[in-house]
Amino acid sequence: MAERSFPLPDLGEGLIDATILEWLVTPGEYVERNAPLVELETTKSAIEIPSPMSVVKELHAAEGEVLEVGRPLVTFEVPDDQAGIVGTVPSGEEPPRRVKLSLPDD
Amino acid sequence: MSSEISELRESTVRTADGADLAVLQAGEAGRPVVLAVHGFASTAQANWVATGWVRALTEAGLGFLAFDLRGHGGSRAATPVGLTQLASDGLAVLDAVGVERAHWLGYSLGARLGLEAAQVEPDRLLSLVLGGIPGNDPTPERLTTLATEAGLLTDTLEAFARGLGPGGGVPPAPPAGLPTLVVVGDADDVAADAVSWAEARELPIRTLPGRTHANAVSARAFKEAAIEVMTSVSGPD
Repeated sequence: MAERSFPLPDLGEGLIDATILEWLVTPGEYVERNAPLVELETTKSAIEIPSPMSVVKELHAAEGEVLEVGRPLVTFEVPDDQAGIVGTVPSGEEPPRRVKLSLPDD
Repeated sequence: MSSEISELRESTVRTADGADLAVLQAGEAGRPVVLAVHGFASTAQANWVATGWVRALTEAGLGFLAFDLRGHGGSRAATPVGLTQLASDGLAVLDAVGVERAHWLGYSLGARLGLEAAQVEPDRLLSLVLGGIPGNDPTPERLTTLATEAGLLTDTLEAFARGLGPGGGVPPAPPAGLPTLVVVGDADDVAADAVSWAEARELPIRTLPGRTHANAVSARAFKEAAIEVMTSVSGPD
């Protein structure tokens, strides 16, 4: 198995960080793709982010913690054949395109 | 259940007095419908879509229906109107999409409007979920202060707040027999009196530990409690 890091995505509206309100998954859990991953609060509003991948390896911030956009949010475990030719994917890559964030003023 | 996020369908509903309301829908036809009504200075998108309610409701076998209140989001009609007209706008949206009865899910002002709708046409509501409802109607000054603090105040919202009336009134109790739930964050200082209001009317209350007026709306416990009430009520007919 390989690991893939998922950073706190760009939340738009010039927001630079968000507070972790509540994790909706636990490490080791299998999550249906697009199922709720985490609740965040920004200075604008509360939002829920869906999960881009399925197997949660590690959560990188505690509830109540403030995380900057682009910092690691979750590490997922992915099968080697989905992790790229060399078996690992650099952390800090772009979020997968199919992650759908529904935010105001999109 | 589908693993994909439910497709949102956008439309516009024109009210009898000519206001164009921006409407969002999701979920399969024929399901019991939840009319989700946002709070002052919010939008259907910010209050219900970004917070994960669409998926939660549609996965529970419910249809999602929401609209932007006048003067908010994509509903541009700015003429200030009172609570009764705003509640009627919700019922007009139900009419426009051909829904006779629906669950009313309201947050803050949207909850207050649910009580208003229940006064006017109680038979059209299947249940009433009142999130973050102040136990006393806020004054226009209080509303504009809150919107200013959130960096959201506009001239349109200020006029809208004045249109709601002087404030200070106490929201009416829901009709006897209408399944009702009050949900509020225990750190909500906008609706700090929601619990005492609900207790005096012997309504079921769910409090959300540590949640404020701004961040209670996305809470999983809120969704679960609301869905439990809605799905325990028999279908639309």
